[in-house]
Amino acid sequence: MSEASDLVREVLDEYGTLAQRALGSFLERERRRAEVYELAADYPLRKGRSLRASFCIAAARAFGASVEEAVRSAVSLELLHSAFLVHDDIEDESEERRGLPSLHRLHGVPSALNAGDALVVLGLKPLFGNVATLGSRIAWRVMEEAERMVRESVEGQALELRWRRENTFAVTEADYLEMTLKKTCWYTTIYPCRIGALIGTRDGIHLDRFVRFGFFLGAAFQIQDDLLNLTGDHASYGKELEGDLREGKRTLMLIHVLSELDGDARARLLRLLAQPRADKSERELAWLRDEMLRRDSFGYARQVAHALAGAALHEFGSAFSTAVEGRDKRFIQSLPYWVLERA
Amino acid sequence: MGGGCAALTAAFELTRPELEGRFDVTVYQMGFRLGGKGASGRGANGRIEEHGLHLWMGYYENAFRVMRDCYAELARDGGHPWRFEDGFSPADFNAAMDLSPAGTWRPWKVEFPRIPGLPGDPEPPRLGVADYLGRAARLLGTLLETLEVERGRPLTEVLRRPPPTPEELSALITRLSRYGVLVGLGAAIEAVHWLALVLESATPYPQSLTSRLLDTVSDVLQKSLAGLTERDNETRRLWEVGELILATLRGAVRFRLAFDARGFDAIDDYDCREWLRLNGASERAINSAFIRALYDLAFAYENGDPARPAIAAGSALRGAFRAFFSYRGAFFFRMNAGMGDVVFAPLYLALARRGVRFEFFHKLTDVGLSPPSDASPHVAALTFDVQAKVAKGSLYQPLVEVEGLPCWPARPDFSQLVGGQKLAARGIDFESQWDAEATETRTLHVGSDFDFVVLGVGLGTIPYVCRALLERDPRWRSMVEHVKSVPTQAFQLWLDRDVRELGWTERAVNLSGFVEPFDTWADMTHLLPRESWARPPKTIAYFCNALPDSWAAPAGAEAGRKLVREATERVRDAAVAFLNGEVRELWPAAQAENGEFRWEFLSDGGAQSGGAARFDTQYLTANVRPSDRYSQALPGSTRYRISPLDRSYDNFTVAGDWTNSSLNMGCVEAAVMSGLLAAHALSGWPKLSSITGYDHP
Amino acid sequence: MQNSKTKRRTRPEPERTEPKRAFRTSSNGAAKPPNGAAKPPNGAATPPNGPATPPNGSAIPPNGEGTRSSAFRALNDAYRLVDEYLRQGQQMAENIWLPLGESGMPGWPSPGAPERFMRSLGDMTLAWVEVVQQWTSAQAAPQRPPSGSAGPFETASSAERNAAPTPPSAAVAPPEPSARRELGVSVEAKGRVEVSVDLADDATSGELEAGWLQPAKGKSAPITSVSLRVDGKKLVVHVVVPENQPRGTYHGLLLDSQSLKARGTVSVVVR
Repeated sequence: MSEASDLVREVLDEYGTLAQRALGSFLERERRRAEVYELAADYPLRKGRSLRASFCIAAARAFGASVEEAVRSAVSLELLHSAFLVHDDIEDESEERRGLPSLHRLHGVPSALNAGDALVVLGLKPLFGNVATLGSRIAWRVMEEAERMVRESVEGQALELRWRRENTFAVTEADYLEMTLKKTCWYTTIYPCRIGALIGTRDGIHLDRFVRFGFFLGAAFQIQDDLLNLTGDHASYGKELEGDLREGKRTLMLIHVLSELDGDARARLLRLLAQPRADKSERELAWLRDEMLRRDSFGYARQVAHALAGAALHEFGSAFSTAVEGRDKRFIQSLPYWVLERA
Repeated sequence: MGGGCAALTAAFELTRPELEGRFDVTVYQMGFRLGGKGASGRGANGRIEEHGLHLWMGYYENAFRVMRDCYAELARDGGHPWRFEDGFSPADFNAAMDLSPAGTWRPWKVEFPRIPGLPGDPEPPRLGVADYLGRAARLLGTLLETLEVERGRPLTEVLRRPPPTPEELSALITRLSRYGVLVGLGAAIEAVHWLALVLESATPYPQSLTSRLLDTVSDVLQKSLAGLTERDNETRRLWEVGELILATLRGAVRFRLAFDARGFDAIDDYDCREWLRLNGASERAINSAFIRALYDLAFAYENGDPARPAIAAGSALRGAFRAFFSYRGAFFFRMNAGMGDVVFAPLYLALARRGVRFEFFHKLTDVGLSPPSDASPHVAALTFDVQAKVAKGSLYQPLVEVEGLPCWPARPDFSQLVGGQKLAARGIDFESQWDAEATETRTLHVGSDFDFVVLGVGLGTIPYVCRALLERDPRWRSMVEHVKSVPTQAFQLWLDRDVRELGWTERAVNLSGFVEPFDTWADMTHLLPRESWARPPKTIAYFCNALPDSWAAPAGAEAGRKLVREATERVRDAAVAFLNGEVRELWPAAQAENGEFRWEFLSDGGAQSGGAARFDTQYLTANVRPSDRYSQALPGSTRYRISPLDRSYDNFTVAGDWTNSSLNMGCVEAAVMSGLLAAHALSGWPKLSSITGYDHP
Repeated sequence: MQNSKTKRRTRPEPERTEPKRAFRTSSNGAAKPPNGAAKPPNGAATPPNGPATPPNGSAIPPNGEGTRSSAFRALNDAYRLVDEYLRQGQQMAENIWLPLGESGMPGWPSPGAPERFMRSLGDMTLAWVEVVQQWTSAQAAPQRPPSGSAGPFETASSAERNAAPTPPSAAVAPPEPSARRELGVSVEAKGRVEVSVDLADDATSGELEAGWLQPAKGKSAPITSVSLRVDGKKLVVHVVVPENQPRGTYHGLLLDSQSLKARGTVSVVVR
C-alpha cells in the first residue's frame, strides 16, 4: 500500500469518526420519535466508511471552511446515501449490506420502503440547519445542489432500471459511463466536491469544474467496486459476492464479455441474462465467470479504471488549483490512487 | 476491366501465391498498352512520352509495397533487368514559384530531408491526428527558430518537460497575452512547443484552453513578425507557411477533428483555402506559393479553370499531413524511365508469369446488369469492341526493348495484328473511348465467361460503359454527377543546352506554383541515358497543368477525333506562347533578342526545322480522352464516392482513384489502395488492417 | 446462362465497408499473411478493437498490453461524455433566463437574472482576487539564490569581461536586504533619443533578459537590439537605435528569464 492510500485511510478514519458521531447524535434524537426512524437509522449506523461525508468535509476544508461548517451537509449526504441504499437493495433484490442482511430481508419490503422514505426526509433536515452556520444564502445554495444531486441520482437509477425492465443488453461503454456519471458519481464524488467548495469559497467558484474530476474518480471507483464484487473476498466487501452476476447488472465486465462472445456462446449468455435471478443456475454462472476470465474482462475493466483514475488525477490540477495546500488537498489528490488500491 | 494502377493492383493481389490460385484473372485493356493515366510510350529515338509529370510521394506505402514485391518476384528468376532501387530515386530538391510583393517571380527552394527507411517497409509510420498536429506545431517551432534573432531560452528545456497541466497552460496564455508582443519571438516559440505537447498529449485538454492557446500564439506571432515580413521575402514565406499551420491547428481543434468519427472527411464540404481562411489564415497565406503548389500538384481547379481552385479540405489535409509527416526515404521519388517502363512493364511481366491473361485491343462498351426482377443484383454481361485481332490467335506481345529495358511503345505493333497495315493506315485512336472502329464486338456472360468483375476503368469512361448502372442506381448517378474529373495538358522538351545555359542557376528541380497555363516544370534530364539518341540532347524538361475543360461530350467518333485535334492545337498554341513568354522567368538565357524563345535550343533529331515550327518535333499531349482525365477531389464530393467494398452488386466491385479508397485523392497511392480494396472485396485478402492508411482519420 | 443463378459465385460479406477514422484508430499494422480462419459470414464478428496508439501521458501506468487501446477508447468516451454533459448544462443554464430576459416584457423580472448577476459579481471578485494574489505573490516571490555565473549576461563582450573580472564569490555574496542594483544605460543612436529604465525593487538577483521594444503606437518596426550586461555592480541596458527608426515611443520589458515575469521596463523615445 502506498503512502497515498495510507493518507486516505488516515483521513477517512478521522473524518469518518467525526461524521459518524454527528450522525449518531442526530439519529439518537430522531429514533426516539417513532419506530420508523429506528428502521431508518439501521443502515447509517452500520459500520461504514462514511466515504462521502469525509470527502465532503475534506473538500470544504481544502477550500478554507471549518469542520463545523461542513458537517451538517456531510451528515445529510450520508443519510441520503442510506436512503438510496435501502431502495437499491429492494430494487436489486440484494441480500446483504455492510455484512448484515439487507433491510427488506429483516423487515419486509413495505417497511423497508417506508424507512427509505424516512431517510430522505431525515436527509433534508440538517440542510435547514445550515442556515445557522452558513447563513441563508449559502444554505439555500447547498439545498439547490442537493436537489440537483438527488435528481441526477434518480435519473441514473432510472436508466439502469429501464435496461433491466426492457431486458436490453445492447448497452455500450458510453451508456454505462453515462449511467455511472449520474447514478454513482454525482452523489459519491461530484456533489461532495461541489458543496465543499461552495461552503469553503462562499459560493465564490464555478462548480462545474468539479464535474470532470468527480466523474473520472467516481467512475473508477464504481468499476473497481464492480470488480470487487466478482473478485474480492467476502469479509471486506460486505455484500454477497457475485451478486452482480446473478442480478445481471450491466457492469463493464459484462459489456466487455458480451462484445467478445459471438455465435452460440453469445446466445447462451443472453439466455442466461434473460432468466430471473432465482433461475440462474450455478453452472451457468460459473461458465460466465470462466468466460470473463478467459476473455480477460477483469483485466480490461481494471485498465479502464486505471485510465479513469489517471484522468481524475490529471483533472485534479484544474479543479483544485485554488484550494489551500495541505492535508485535505493531498487527501483528495490521493483518492484516485486509493480507489485502485483498495481491496 | 482496365489496366491502370488500380486494376493491375487488384490483379496482382488476387493472384498472390498465398491465395493458391483461387482466382483466374484476365485483364481487358483497350489499345496496345497498360497504364491508364500513367501509361507512357517510347517514340522516335527511344524518347519517353508521358501523359504528364509523375512523381511518387514518399508516403505511397501501398503503391511502393506492390512495386517492391513485384520487382522482388521478377528478380527471383531474372525476369527483369532492374531492381526496385533502379526504378525509383529520391528527388529532394523542389521549389515553388513565389511572387513577391514587388512583383517578381522567385523560386522558393525546399530541400526535403531524407527520412530513414523506405515507403513500403514493414511497420508503417504512426498516423493519427494528434501525432500530425503535434508534428505540425513542432514544424512551426522549427520554422520560427530559423527566424529567431534573439537569444532565446534553450528549447531543449521545454522539449524535455512533461505535458503542462491546464493551470500551467492557463498561466502561459495569460503571460503571453500580457507580455507576448513585448517578449518577442522567444516566448512565442516556447509557446509553440508547449502547443505541440498539448496537441500530442494522450489526454485531451479542454478545447477552450487549446483554442485560447492557439489564438494567443498566433496573435503574438503575427505582431512580432509584422515588421519583419514586410522587409524580408524569406521571412514572409516562412510566416505564410506558419500561418497555414496555425490555421490548420486552430481548425483541427475548432472542428474537433481529432474526435470526429468521420476523421478529416468531416470538413470535406469546404474548399481547402476557404477552410483555412475560416480558421484565420490571411489572404496572403492562402494565396501563397506553398498553397498554389499544392493545388497545382493535385490539378485542383474546377473544370481546369485557373480562376476556380477547389479541393476538398479534409482530403487535401489528409494528403498534406501524410505527405509531410509520414513520408519515408524521400519526400518525392522520381522514376528513372517512363512510368510505363518502371511500373507497368514489370507488373505486366510479373502478372503474365503468374498466368494472368491480357486481352489487349478490348474496349469495354457495356456493363450489363441482371434483370431488375433479380433479387440479387449483379453484373450479368460485359460487352467489348474488339479493336484489332491478333494473328493466328496468338497473344499480343506488347513490350519493346530500349537500351536493354522492357518498355511500352508509343504506337501499337501493327505487324502482330490481323490486317495490320490497313489498320495502321486508318489512323485509329486506340486509346479513345470515342473511337468506334472495331473488327467485331464480343460479349462475356456471367457463369460461363466470368464470375467476378473488377471495374477498373477511369472515371471519365464510366458514363460510356455503365449505362444500366446509371439508369437504375441513383447512387451511381450522383457519383458521376458530383465526383469530377479534369483534362490535363503536358509538353516535353529535349534541348541541346544544359539548364545553366538556359539561365537556371539551381540544381535539377521539380517546380510548381508557376503561372498558368503551365504551372509545373520538372527537370527530367536524368532520363537521357534511358533513351537512345544518336546525338543526345543535354536537357529534358517536362511541363504540365490542368487543361480548362470547355468541350461538351462529342457526339460520335468523328466529333471525338476533332475534339482531340482541337485540344492538341490549343495545347500547342499555349505552349508556344508560354515559351515565348513566361518561361523567361525560369530560363532567362533562353530568350532571343526579339523576345522569342530560342527555338534553335530544341533538339530536333536532325529534322532541321526552324522557328516555332521546330516545336512540333517535341512531344505534347492534351489529355482530353475520357480515360485520360484526372480524378479530382472537389469540395462536397467525397460522400458520393463509391467504395470498392460496397456490395450492392454481389459479383462486382470497382477500383480507381475515383472510388472511395479512404485517401480519396487523384494519385497512384489512392488507385493502388482501391485495387487492394477491390481484391479484398472479392477474396478477403489483403486484410483491411494491412492496407496502410485505410483506417486513417 | 438461364440456370446460372443457382451456381453463380458471389462476393463474401465484407467485415466492414468503411474505414475506421475515429480518434486514434489509425492503422499502423504491417502487412500480415492472411488469416486461415475466415470470420463466420453471419456478421457476428468480434467488434474491432482498433490498433490504437499506446497512451503516453497516463498518470498511472496500465499494467497490460492487450486491452490498453480499448481502455483508452473508454477514457476518450468518458471525456467526450462529460464534455457534452457540461455543454448541455451550460446551454440549459443559459436558456433558463435568456428567453425570458429578452422577451422584452416590460417590468417582468427574469427569474435567473439576479442569480446570474450575483454569480458574475462573484466571478469578477474572484478574478480580482486572483490578480491581486498573483501580484502579491510576484512581489513576494522567494529570491532564488544567485547562481554565481554570469548566466544570462553573456551578451557582454569578452573584452569587457576581461577588463573587470569579477570573482564568482563576489556575486554569490548574499544581497543585502535593501540592496538595489545600480542601473546604467548605454545607447547607440544617430538622432536624439531618450531612454529610461525601471527595475522592480527586488530585482537584484536572478537572470534578466530584455525583450524587443515595441512602438507604443502605429506599426513601426520594433527596436530589436536591446541587451543587458553587468558592469561591476551595475546592470547596464544597452540599446541600439537604427538610423532610420521612425519617431515615436517604444516600450519593452525586462523579464525574469526563468519565470518570464516582468521585472522592469525600458522606454525609448526617438525624436
